[in-house]
Amino acid sequence: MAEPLAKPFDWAVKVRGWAGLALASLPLLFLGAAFFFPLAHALSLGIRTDNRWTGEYLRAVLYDPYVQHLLSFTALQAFLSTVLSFALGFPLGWFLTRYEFPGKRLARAFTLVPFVLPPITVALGFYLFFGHSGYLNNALRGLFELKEPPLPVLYSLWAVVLAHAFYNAPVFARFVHTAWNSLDPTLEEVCAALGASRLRAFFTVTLPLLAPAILSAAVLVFVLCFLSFAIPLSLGGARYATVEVGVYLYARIYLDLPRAAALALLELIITLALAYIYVRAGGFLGGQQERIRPRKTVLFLARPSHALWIPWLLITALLFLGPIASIVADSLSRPFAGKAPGLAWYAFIFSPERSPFIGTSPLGSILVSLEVAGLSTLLALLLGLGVSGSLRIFRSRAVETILMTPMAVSSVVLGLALLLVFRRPPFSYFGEKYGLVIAHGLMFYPFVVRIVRPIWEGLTPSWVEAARTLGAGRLRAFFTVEAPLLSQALLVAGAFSLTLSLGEMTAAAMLSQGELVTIPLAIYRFLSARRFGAASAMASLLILLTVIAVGVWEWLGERGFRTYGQA
Amino acid sequence: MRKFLGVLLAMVAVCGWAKELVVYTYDSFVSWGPALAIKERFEAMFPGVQLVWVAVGDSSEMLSRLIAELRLGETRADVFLGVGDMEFPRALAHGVFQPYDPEKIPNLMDVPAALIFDQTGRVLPYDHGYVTFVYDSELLPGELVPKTLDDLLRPELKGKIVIEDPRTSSPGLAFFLWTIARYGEGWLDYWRKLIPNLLTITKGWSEAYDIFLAGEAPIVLSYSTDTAYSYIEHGSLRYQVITPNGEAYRQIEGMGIVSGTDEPELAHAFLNLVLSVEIQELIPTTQWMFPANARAKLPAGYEYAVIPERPVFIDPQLVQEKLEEWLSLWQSLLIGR
Amino acid sequence: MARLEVENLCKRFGSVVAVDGVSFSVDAGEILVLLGPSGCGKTTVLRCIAGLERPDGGDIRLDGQNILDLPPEKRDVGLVFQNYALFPHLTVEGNVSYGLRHGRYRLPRQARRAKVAALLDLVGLSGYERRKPHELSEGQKQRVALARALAVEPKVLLLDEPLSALDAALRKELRRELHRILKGKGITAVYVTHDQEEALVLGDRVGVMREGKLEQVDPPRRLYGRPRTVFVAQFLGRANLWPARVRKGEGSAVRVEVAGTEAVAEPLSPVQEGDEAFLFFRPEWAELGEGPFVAEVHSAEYLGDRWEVRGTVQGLPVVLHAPAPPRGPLAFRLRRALLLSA
Repeated sequence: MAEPLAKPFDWAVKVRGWAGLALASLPLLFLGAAFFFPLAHALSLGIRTDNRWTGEYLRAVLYDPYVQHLLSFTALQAFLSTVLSFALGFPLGWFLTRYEFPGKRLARAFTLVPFVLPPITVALGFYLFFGHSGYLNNALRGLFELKEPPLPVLYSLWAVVLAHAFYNAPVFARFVHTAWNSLDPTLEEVCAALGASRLRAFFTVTLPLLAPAILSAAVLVFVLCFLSFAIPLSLGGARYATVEVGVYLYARIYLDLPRAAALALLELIITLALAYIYVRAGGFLGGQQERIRPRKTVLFLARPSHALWIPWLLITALLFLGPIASIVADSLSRPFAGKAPGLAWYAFIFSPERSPFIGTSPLGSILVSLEVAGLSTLLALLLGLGVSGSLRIFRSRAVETILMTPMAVSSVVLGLALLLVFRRPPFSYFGEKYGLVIAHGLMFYPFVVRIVRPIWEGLTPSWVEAARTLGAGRLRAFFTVEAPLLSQALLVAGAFSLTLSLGEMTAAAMLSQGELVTIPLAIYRFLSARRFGAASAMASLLILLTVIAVGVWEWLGERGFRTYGQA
Repeated sequence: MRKFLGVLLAMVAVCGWAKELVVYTYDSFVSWGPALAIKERFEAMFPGVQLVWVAVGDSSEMLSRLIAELRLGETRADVFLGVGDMEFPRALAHGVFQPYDPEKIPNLMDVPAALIFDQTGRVLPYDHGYVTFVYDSELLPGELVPKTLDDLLRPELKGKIVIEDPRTSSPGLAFFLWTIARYGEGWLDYWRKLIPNLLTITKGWSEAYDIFLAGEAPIVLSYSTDTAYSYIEHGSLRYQVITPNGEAYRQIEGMGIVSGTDEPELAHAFLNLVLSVEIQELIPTTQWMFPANARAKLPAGYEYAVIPERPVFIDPQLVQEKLEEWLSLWQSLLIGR
Repeated sequence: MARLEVENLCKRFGSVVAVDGVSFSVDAGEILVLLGPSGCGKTTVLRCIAGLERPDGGDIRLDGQNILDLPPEKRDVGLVFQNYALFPHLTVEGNVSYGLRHGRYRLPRQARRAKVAALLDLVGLSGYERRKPHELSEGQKQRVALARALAVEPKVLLLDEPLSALDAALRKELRRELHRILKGKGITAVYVTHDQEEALVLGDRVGVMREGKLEQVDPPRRLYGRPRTVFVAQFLGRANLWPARVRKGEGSAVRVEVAGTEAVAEPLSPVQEGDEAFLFFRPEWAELGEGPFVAEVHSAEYLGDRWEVRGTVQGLPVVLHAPAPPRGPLAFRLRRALLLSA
């Protein structure tokens, strides 16, 4: 106390400032070395030849009438898919916000299942359910004694759009549900008090206030559908190919890497432009926001008018649960080596014996998937947290947009870039398993950023300030104040990244040297080996794991809200 | 600590000095195919050497992966198995293969000269088959069974045929070339009329066959050994092979030594082993193709496997020259321009 | 202007009884304040009147017409919220004119403009039309919320703690202004607050609520001078409540035994000899000097115009007002006392 309050030396402040800056740029440097540099290298093939810049390949690609067709078709299907996802997802979000019903938490957990299912599983579910001789058409045929399948949706543009809606309508539902829940319910009450009807209040107040969330969701969904590859190919066929198929054709079939890179670059420019809109619109990804007063919910079917929802609910259940249930039903009903069907395929996929069809034991494949998912989630969380922190210092929407690249880049080119990095030192030392862990960490950290950042930005600075006046250093203040307050968002992000990793296949296929077989790879191999029962059982297991992960997060999330919601 | 060091040294020794031969191939060669039997035989012949199969994807995916790796100079592959007679010029153009020494592959003597498609001495055949149409006799009425390629255009068959994409699948490409061989300049017209009859065009054979087996469509573009397959595996003659005008497109699958391999001797020994009668006799019931070795015997039930009266094929060199142009015309047709 | 009647209102949330048989009426042009601690059910009463909650029982009538089955937008009831609830995506003008554009009584654009201008003038916010809510101070937001609710000229205006988010000085200023506006327009209003000063200043009548029940509704002076229950007596102002026993009861003055001596008090309900009750008096009802009671002084606080003295009389706590700091025990007598039933 007696010590005079000397002003600290200027250079000390400066050094601490630089140290902070260096710390903040650490995650960015890692991303640069492990992801952006190789990606830029792969993409530069499209604009460089013999050490000079060239627009030759870009021009060649742009003037190719087939590519022009691919671009316009891709945009069209992405647009239709976004519209249908909105049409199906918005009422679902509304329903979840407005009504209380038994099993609501489970239903909410289920809304994330489609999003993380690998495309082959979804295609399998769609064949089994919507196929010309799938469950749905067979049931309808039996019911009405028809000869031809009454709902020939597969192998058409509509199959593609429907499958994209299956994937993305739940994304819309979550965005809308979360945004709506963080909307002050008194606003709608004011409308009523001012004499506006419910419908008018909805269009003049609720909808405009939900618009940023809807725009975010729409852009995200559009980008994901724009980059879609396996779904259009497997459910639509060659007639419904997307730009990504064009990249694939150039890279894999014509072996013309420069043109593949040029097309991928074009694709990336489009998706990043959209990602910029997404970032501007707030770009959140369904984390719980601070709530003012919990919204009142009504017990579903408490009033007779609620029955109007039932037809819509049936259609939604048909679309979402149909394909998923078909996979589970298939896994239980396929005959197993002459034995009665039932749990036989599950006994098979949990056996530690090596299966020649997948090149490893099914159990080993499940365990390695879980290990990769767990470790990559940790990495994605660290990276996501680091990047979110860095973005608090380097405030720039452009940087933020570029950091979204892993979400917006062609999976074919991403695979190529990963191949470029992970086959060379230093990353080659990690081997295929840890290489995949790093790759998944790099691919999924943007989701962590999107979930954690808005919440972090929303924290009242006075909490940290209070901690610091109480004598905690900046880092200590982070771990004792911000981190616990962010823990719920981190949990959500962790569960999200975990499930994404479990379902991811592009990087897994690219980095696997044969010994590393994750669950989706095992499904793929069982399918091509015509072991449909095993494929369905594996896919059912993947669905179950997803539901568990999301369920745990919902449960912890709600507890977290109770703890910190009052703060 | 000492023990630990010892273990570490032993591990380094194993990793550093254990020889291995890495073979890239397509996934079904491992999952269904004779890959395991080959590995066992090979490792018995060369104690201390490990044979590593890398098979993540179909043959064109694996080939493009190999090419990308060669560009980086970072490939583990010593041998590539599964390059078709139609695609191999593309592989040669990228310098994937180095010439083999016929002296070191004695079993080559038993391979008919007609099957040796690569005149540059780099890629050699290990099996061959015939791409054609197969129908589901329980779903397709007898009078609709096509007897010629033109019969596939009948309006009654609207939405009843599944084929593979010629750009991504080798049977798809085979049929595509078949139409060019048969109709010459008129092939575009043929396709214009065919497209409405197609239920879908899949990326690969596997997807097409799944759709066919699920009963989604009664006709699929597949292989002439399909009846033999369903007879041998399930005792069923439900799926019947068609040879329109007695034709089917010939497809030969080849293998070769990857340029710059460290193990040329082992690689030659491997090629010779694959061509041995013992392994070749596994080909019919695992790959469902005809063996390249003429001395290999066909199993019972293969009487249902059809060898067409008039196998069709186009000179690979011509394919190499014209394919991109043809496919681009085909693409335009597909998108209705 | 309208008359509001609430009769036997009941509302349960699950097993919690929020409002338990509340009845009152508000005359045309009258301001009724509902006062009570948080959680007493006063806001629920307001929300029931507005139609935002559906009561489990009872009646709500506006000008004699039952409005229970009307949805909120058809009730002609205005509502001002504690957190203002301004629409964040609309300007001040958009907020104030919302009801005139989307409500039941829509006005053409020109008329709307004029009305918004007049209202903003009334609340002292002329020139703020184009601002967005986040560009306003808390006090300005509250004025906009008031203008918005007044725009549709509701038959009854309901205000739910409208000033509680403001700081003390602003609260007093806005309180006066609110009173001026409400009285100037002659608006029938129900005002909910937990601030007794606000209640006494604003209310023509004040109703005190406790645990879902309305304990007493009276003009402020009566409520202060003649509280009918122990709770009301304690909730408003300083209160001395001593246990007492009735010795002889008749008429408006009974003798009671209290603090080891006897006193005279006015019972607010008929009593009988031997009844247990509370003797109640405000500090200012005690006359210092001499008398039957002697207070041991524990502390004294200077309040500017007087000293507030705390002490005990025969072990019973007491609060008294003194003109100077006491130097020793204070003797006093009661000019007035009430007898409240236990």
